Amino acid sequence: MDVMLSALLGLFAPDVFLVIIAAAAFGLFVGSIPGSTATMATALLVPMTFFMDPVPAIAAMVTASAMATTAGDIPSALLRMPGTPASAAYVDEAYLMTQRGEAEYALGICLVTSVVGGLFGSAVLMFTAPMLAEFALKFSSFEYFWLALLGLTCAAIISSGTPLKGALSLLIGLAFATIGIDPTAGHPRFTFGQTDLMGGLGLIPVMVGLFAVAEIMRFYAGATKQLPPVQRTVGNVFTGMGSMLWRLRRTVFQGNVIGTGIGVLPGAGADIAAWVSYAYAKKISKTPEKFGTGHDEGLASAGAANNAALSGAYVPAVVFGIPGDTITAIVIGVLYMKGLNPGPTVFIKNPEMIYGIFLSFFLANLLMLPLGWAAIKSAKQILRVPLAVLMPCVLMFSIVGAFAAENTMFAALLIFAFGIIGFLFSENDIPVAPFVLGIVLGPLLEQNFMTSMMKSGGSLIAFFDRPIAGALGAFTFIVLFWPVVRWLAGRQRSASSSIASK
Amino acid sequence: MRLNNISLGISASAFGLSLLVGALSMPSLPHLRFGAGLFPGIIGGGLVLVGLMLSFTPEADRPPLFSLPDWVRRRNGVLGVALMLGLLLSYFLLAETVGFIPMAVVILTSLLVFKGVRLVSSVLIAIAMALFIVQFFGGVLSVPLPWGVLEPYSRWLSWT
Repeated sequence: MDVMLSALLGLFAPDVFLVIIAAAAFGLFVGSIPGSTATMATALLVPMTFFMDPVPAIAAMVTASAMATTAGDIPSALLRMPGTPASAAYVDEAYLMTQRGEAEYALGICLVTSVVGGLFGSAVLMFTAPMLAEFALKFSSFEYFWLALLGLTCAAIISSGTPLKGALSLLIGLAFATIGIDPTAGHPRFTFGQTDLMGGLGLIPVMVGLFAVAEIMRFYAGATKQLPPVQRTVGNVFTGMGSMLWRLRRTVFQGNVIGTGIGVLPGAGADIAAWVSYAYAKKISKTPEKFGTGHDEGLASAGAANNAALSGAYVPAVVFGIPGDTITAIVIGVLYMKGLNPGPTVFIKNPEMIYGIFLSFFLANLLMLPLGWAAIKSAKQILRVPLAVLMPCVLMFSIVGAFAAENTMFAALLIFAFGIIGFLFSENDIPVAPFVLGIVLGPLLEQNFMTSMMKSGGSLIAFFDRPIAGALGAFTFIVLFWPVVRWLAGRQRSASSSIASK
Repeated sequence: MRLNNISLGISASAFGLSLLVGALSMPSLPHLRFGAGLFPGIIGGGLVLVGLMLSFTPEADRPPLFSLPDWVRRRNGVLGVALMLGLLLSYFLLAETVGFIPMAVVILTSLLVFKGVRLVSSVLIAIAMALFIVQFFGGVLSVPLPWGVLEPYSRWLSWT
């Protein structure tokens, strides 16, 4: 309890609180811009966090990502353009409500369910993470290897594309993660004599390239257009919210549970949580025919799910050091930079810091009510900022941000290369999330794999010797080979149907 | 550029094969049969396998091996992407010598004018933005942005 109290006091220190407010404003602004992502907001924030203590640094990123996800609903409702991919699942629903003159109600649902979802996910994180951490203390390199592999396998399968393209994305990410000095023998790999590559690829320039530069490329390719909002003034968004929450309590609760659960799975983040929750709400609804006509049920379910997923993603991140989504992948990078290795021992060595981070989730979600309201009120001004002015400025911030992280001009080349990779991935419907997790988790996977191999003298049987490792291994194989079986079955079906048609 | 499953699968397999060949030439650990090449070798093998599976996965609309996306045909699409990437690459090549402020002004002005912002406004926005970044990142956050040709005037351009 003492730890909790001092963590709470630390969070309300004037400088920390000021950082959180500034990050909230930044997140709300970035999220309101169509085409941006909460990951982009987090990545652009990284250079500012270099000079902060761990708690304000992480609290700033938590706040900015939560605010950006919620603010993404504003252009969804007013322009029919999701501010972030997390709002894409219910963009039509929200826009149709706006066209009927119900923008207040649509945005009110988005805001209030986001707060409820965020608080639910935060509570799950705060209560399950310490218990899981105690359990994780018994883990050796074998268990960590299987856990990382299981996470990566899930990331490839449940990503937004087909499982095969997810696997391709993941393997390319893992291949890039092998660049640099190898962790066991100290042999330089795929460095082509470049000293800049000896330490491996810098995580921040890679993220900035994939998420910010790729988006700027899409803008200059002419894929992002700015439209005027259909409803120019938005009234009181809180009118009728109490009765809505009571009437749709089951839908919102189910959105919370689905969102948190999907958030915990590595690779699947807020966007997938919103899609799944929307689809499930439609499936079990008494009035499924109303979905897609500007109905509040789907909006409430998906709106709660995407924010719950944000908090859920931190469970595997803080307990095992395995990111639950692309945002936590960046946060893990920042934790390493601060000399704090995420994992179960962080609960023993730095309990104050970890509880500070947990409490920052609650604070961020509670602040969302007044700040989100202010953002909706000023939506007209935010949506008027021309993208033609904004995008070049984001490019300059990307260059400087990447340079600040690496302190070498090579960072500009990295954001250039990874911007093109991110752009080509989206052109070919290859999901980016497995690639990012591959780059982040690659070193952890290899380190644990090689340590285990050396412990066992090269025997693969040892990977299944310990009970937890054996169970995790068996489960990983089931998840890994299930798509292969489906792929073979699909081929057989298409072959037999082509024979039948002949 | 859009690739269909066949061309994407073959490209992935070729990449995997090159990874595998690179991994085979890496040294083993003393007294063990494996070493630095084991992990990249497994990934290379995985890429070959996934690439082959992808190239044997049929697509409903049977797209060609390569196709150009819509933005290539759009007015200014290719030009916009080329300009943006060209400017980013020029920053990498020239920023150390020329300096951050002149490069930022050139990049911002070019991109603003390209999207239809008036020249005078573009230059003013570019200068204001470049100076803001220098003060904030260079001054407050101590990021060592290159001064380049403006080195002799750095004292006047930064308040810290």
